[in-house]
Amino acid sequence: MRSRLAWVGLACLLALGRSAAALGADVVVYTSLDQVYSQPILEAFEKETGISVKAVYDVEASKTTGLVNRLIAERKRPRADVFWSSEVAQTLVLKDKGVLAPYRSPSAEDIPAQFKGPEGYWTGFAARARVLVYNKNLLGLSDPPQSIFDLTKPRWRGKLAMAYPLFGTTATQVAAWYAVLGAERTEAYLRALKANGVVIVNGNGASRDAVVQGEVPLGFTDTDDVNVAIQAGKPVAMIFPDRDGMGTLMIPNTVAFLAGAPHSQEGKRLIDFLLSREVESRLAFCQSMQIPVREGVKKPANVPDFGDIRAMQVGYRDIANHMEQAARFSRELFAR
Amino acid sequence: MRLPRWAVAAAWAIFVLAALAPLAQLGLDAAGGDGASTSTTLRDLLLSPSQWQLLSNSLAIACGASALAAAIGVPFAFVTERTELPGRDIFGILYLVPLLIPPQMHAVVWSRLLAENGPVSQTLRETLGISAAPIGIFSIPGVIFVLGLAYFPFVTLLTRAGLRSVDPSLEEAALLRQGPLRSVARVTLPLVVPHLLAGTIFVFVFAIIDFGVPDILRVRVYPVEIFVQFSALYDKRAAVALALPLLIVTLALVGLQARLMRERAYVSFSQGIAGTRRYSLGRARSWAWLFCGSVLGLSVVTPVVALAAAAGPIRTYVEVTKGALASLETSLSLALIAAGITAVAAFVIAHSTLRSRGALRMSLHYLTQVPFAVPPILLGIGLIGLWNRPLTGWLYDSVAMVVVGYVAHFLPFAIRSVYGSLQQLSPALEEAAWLATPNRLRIAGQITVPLVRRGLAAAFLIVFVLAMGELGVSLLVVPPGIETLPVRIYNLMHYGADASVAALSLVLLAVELAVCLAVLGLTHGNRRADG
Repeated sequence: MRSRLAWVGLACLLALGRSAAALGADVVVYTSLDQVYSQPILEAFEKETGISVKAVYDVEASKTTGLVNRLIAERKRPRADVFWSSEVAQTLVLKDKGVLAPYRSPSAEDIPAQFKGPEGYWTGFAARARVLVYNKNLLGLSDPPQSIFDLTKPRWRGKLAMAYPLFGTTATQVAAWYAVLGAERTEAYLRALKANGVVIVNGNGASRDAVVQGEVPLGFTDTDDVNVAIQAGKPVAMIFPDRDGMGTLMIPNTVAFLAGAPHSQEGKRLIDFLLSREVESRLAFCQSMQIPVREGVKKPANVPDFGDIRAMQVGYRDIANHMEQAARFSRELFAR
Repeated sequence: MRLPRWAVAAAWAIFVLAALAPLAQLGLDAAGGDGASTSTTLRDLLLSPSQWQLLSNSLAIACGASALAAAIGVPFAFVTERTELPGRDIFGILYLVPLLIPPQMHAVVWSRLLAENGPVSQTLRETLGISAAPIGIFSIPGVIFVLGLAYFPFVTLLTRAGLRSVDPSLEEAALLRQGPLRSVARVTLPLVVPHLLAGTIFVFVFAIIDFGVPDILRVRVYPVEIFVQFSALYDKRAAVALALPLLIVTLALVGLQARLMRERAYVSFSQGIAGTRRYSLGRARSWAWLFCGSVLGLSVVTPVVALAAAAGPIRTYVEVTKGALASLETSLSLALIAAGITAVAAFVIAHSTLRSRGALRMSLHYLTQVPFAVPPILLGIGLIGLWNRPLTGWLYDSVAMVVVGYVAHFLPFAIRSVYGSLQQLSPALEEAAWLATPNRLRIAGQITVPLVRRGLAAAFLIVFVLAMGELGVSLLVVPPGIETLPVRIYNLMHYGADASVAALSLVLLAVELAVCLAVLGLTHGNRRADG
């Protein structure tokens, strides 16, 4: 028995050594974009440049903040060169925490100014929209609501799913309401949603699933979540809400360069690559149907032109500044 | 007998460095105000009314889940270990399966089955003609149900280890005076109290620090508050302060357990003698079978069938496994190494604690249980703070850091598991061996370890299984470019690839089950050798 154990131990050590040997990283990226989308793009970069990429992928269970907290904790001895987020607000938090360094990529020149940090700390591209997903079987004949303000009406009582608004893009959306509508109206709206029996679920994916399963007919979620379900043949569709009002919140991917990045040249090259029109096009063609923020980027027919969407007029800095206030209120309101 | 000093020192050093030091680091950071975005005042650190509400939710869930797990786990262990129930060997293996399915998966399966428009509710509604869903899975009882089913194997595993080592002569003596029912209730079961309490405490700890399952079942619980401090408010100090109630509750529980077991002896003088008694069930046989069958039906068959149905054709398994091979290998090797280190360290720590006296023994015991209920995100942040510095960067940058994380997270569980078995061991056996040889390592290797091997195996398996599914700590300390299997599974889950997630979960389950069978086979096979 003892010799058998020794063999097991030896095998383990060998495996450990092999994994450790794979460590000589050339560029390190932490990303919260789903691995199925981000990995092929990082592999394309490896192929094009010969620089090998070491990535840490975030998971939903940690709600895209695991890596943000890791970056903050690693600040004194940074390990990552690039942060590629599927979100924008947390990138701004990192900037405020002194984790980022400015880098203006030449690839970003044609990206509209609203998607770039004024000091060059972050750049946005390939946006998702905060939409309403609805079940076509359940709402087939009646009109789905066109404004989020309809959702507090008795007709939609108990019929709406929403992720716990402290995390992810749902938190960003609530903070955006704070920025656009002001605290008073937003809080009244959230209270009305709660009074109208909104079903709080554990993520945007779960919100989509509740609608796909027909548990509720309507849910707040992101375009990529809905599109995955549409592609899988589920009976759902999406609404870009408030086309006649405050508009739909657009949330871009963001990339940022890290202060004290161990591989700064390679990191900058990766950022240049990620911000290229080709990558934005690839993200539009994959299942996540990210909407290009630049004009003339090649995209499939089902991805709307950015210009055709009535995007909510709000600065991302303004959203970030309201994140904490929004979180504190939502935490109390939805505690039970 | 005491173990060699160097061994004791090394094991305690592992415990202090891996498990305690990161917590001290966190405490220091929090006290120093590092990471506190706003100026947190003392008043902010007191729990708000809604936080009290959440804490009481969490306590209700943890108490309920551990009570349910004990109510299922102890009878299950007894029936499969000590009766002549037909099929007990199969039952005795299958009960491990729920542990090998991530608890979140249990929750997803049940939430779909029992949702308002789910198949179970539909059927019940049609047959009973009622309008509302009769079973509310999205509730505290729903969470208790899922956690109890997912975690009862902890109780069963440890109780079985205890039952195997109970002194048969005590039972025989009891049987001379009273019937089997009374001797089981008054002699056999009380003798495995350390084991079943340890298992129950595990369930309690997992139920109180985890928010994955309640989150899916739409119940707000206390640990979310800690997570919110990090992810929404970026306030490390408040997060640390909020974790204190969890530590206090768990330590109180450990204290209660110690009080319950005070002044009692669990020593088995005839350890190693094979031939524990199996009771005949008589007419109760079909009831026992029905009990085991329905427990496994709910906790094994239901989730496995649901996952298999979601995974679909064999093709899915082949495809996902191809992509996941590297991460499976990583997870497997890291979990095996961590389980090995942890089991050995736990043995030495538990042994040295038991062989110390009086107040020292009590305080060492408490010390080993302090890191029990630390939420993974806090442990991960503490580990980064401790190890990610120029002097120790070589370790932090290596994959060994994940092993450190697993050891830190699970060492208290392993200590708890081994402790119960060591309590059954009479020190006289070691002392007697000492007369023959002064080599204490040899005594430990040839007398002590073989006698507590079932407790050791249980500890090894518990750490292995937990490490295979670990996500919270490993995500924070895994070096770039290395991927563990849970990270991959949860990533796919977010993407919405239900079929791949289900298939990968089943692959993971099969691999873990194979390891469990191998380890149990090793320890089981040995029994005949020393009998």
